[in-house]
Amino acid sequence: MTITSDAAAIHCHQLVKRFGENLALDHFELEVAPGQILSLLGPSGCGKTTALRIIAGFEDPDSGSLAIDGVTVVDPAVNLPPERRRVGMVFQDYALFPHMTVAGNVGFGLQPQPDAGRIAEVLELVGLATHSDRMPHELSGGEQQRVALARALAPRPALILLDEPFSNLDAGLRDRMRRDVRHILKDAGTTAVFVTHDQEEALATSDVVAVMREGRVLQTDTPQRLYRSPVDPWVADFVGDGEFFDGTADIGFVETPLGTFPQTTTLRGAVTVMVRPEWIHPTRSGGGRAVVVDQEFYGHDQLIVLELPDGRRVNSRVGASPTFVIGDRADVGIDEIVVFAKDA
Amino acid sequence: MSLGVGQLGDRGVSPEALREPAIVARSAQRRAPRWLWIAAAAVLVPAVVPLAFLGARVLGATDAAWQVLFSGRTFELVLRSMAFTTAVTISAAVIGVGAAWLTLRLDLAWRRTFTVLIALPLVIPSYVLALTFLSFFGPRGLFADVTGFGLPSITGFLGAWIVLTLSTYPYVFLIVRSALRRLDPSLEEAARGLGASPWRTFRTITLPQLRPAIAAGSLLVALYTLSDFGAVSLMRFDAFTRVIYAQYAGRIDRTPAAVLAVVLILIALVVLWAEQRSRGRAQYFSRRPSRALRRLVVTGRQRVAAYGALVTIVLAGVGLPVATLTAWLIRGLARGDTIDMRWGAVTGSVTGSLAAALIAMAAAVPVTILTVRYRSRAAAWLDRSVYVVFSIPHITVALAVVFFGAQYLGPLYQSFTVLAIVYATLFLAQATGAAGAALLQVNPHLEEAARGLGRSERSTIREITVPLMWRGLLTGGALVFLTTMKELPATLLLRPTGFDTMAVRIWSTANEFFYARAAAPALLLLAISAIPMYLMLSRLRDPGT
Repeated sequence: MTITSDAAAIHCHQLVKRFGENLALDHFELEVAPGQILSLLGPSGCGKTTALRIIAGFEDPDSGSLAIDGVTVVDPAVNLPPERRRVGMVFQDYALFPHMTVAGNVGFGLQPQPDAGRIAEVLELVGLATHSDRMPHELSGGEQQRVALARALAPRPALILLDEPFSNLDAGLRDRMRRDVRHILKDAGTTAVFVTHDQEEALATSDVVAVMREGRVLQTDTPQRLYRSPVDPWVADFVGDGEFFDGTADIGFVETPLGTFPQTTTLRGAVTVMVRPEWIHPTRSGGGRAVVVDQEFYGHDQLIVLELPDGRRVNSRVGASPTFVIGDRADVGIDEIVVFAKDA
Repeated sequence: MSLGVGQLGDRGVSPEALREPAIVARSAQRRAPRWLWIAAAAVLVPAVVPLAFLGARVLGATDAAWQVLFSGRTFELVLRSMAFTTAVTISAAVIGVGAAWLTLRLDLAWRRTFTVLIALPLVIPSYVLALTFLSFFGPRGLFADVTGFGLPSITGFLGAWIVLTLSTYPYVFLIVRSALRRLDPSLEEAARGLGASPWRTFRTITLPQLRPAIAAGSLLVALYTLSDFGAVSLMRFDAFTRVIYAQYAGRIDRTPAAVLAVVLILIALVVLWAEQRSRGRAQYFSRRPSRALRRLVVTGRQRVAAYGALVTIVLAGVGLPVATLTAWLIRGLARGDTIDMRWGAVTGSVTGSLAAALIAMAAAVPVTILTVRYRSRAAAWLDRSVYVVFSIPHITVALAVVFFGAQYLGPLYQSFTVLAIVYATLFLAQATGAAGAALLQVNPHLEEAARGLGRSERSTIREITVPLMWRGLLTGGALVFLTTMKELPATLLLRPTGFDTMAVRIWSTANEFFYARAAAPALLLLAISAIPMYLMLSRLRDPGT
């Protein structure tokens, strides 16, 4: 075994995995710092679950290397079996052993002797201290989820992996479980990687988000930076709503159909400009250039559809209070913009 | 030979499996550990090595032996066996599909009772059925004795055809029944809504969807018919197996028997190959219906005809044999016969079958895990070999073991151990079929979760995989038990001196026309076989499996 110099909890280096013709991982690179919660975000089929399963040891990469807690677990010379990687996995379907009680499930990874104290401790951590004698089928979906998490945490793994952990829960429970799971993981101080295709979930739950597409990581950043400074239009579109415009850039400014804005990139000539709906501010004005053509009121905020002088329609997300009526004329203010090279 | 309820029918890739690649196709991309391979390969050694030896022996045979192969008599034998197998397969398929449709799709009373009674001939050995038909019909048969009116005797092709049809239609019945239950009723409703009559709907919509199930059931029927030895011998019909046994038992040079055995193996392989091909083109519809199917309401003459058909099947397949055996037993007792129950035969049957079931269950574990969890090409070949061994008539495997054993096994040859291992190898496909179906329903994430929690492959198999597939393993064991209880040719050739089974007892007494003496062991055999049959049918009723 080699000890890599960096202190990363996980270091994936140039991982490649093919399934027949399909390239699931294309020189995949990922680093996660100890104690961090990272989410792998991408559309279905982008290879994120494959990456997770390779880290766990359920699949072998074709090439590349992988280190967990500074210990190389996969490279051309080494391939540790899953049981020796100290990685806890929480499956989408929870995978609780149906023939064992909650305590039996949680104690399964505690060897050689299931330690009753540790079982009670982790069940306490997930708020199920009174459920230790139940069978898995007697639990609700949220409770099964907690047991799965407790089971993974019990042997104090170096790392917890979660595969679409919230997708089997209904909407109300999902929000609560996201918060609870985040707190449980932070309390336990564990490094965690979870896979999701839901951008809102990724942004709300993790310290760092890695966006994947076609087997590659396109950007790894904090949720805030990812949302405000995506590296390309595809990432921008995937992590949130956006309006895209053609623009012409020059030193210090960019011209767009919305007006001329300052910019700090070194790009010149034809560019793509992206604006998020909440960065667009309509104000009612009789002489405004835009017309309100549609609106959807959500309670906490509302969506105003504006028609620009060139006929183009853009969405603007504003607070609940301003009152617009279809047909109103408005001036349009822009908070910030993101400039991309054309055909990035 | 009998395979479990619908296992063959379930072996195709279901649409669900294709839709959930995350669970199915991606499971266990790691390589299987070597010890698992060694365990699985060891399981096939008892069958494969003797067969290879048999092949080698045939290739090195003398010219005289080869003349057997190219004689007109052998050619005639091949044609006769093929015609016979085809006839039995067609009639068994018609009865099996018809009975499944009648019991499942019509609003008849006592449907469950009919279902059990119609499946019941599965536990009646074909030679017992043959024996009861021989003694019931004929100018001096039971019917003539009771009524004074002599029926013509049924022997030869006709007798063997009727008896084997009645012995084998339950395979088609059970497999088609489970496929019919999984059909989406909205397809039939759509056809009816488009103006098709019930008959046209059955012919153009239902039947094509049942094709894979019918093919799977017919495969079992054809293989059983090819390998049947007891019934055709009692009926004095010169099928392949009877001729092989005659060549073996009556000659000093046993090479001609080996040559004929190899020809029979080749015919069985052709049947297996033909079924695989028909399956390759077939489409599978194994979606679990969202709602229960509505039964057709029949009245008047149609209702009477439906009951008539079911009652006729039950009377012929169960009523006649049980009544005849009981009558012979009572008459024998009244005449002052001792029942002549050799308890050695009972213990021989039970210990032999139990040992075979336990060995097959143990052997099924590595084979099933390799074929279900590690979908490599080698694992697919392993799966196929288990079926090939299953499809080879027992008399040829037994013959191969005789040839091989006499030369290499020394004192082990003709021992209980070898016999039990041969039984288990012959019927392994039943155990792996049932266990495989059970393992397919176990979420592979459970095993991965155990590995992730620090357990080795072996510990995971012991604590997670085996406990969760236990019911399937048990069903497989019950099937092997049931089949071994009925087994005749391998027992005749391989039994150690002094070892006796009820099957052997029935066969030898019946061969000497002591029908009354055969009745007691035959009834006892049915009673004992009813236990695993009950286990199997109670599993049938469970909608979750």
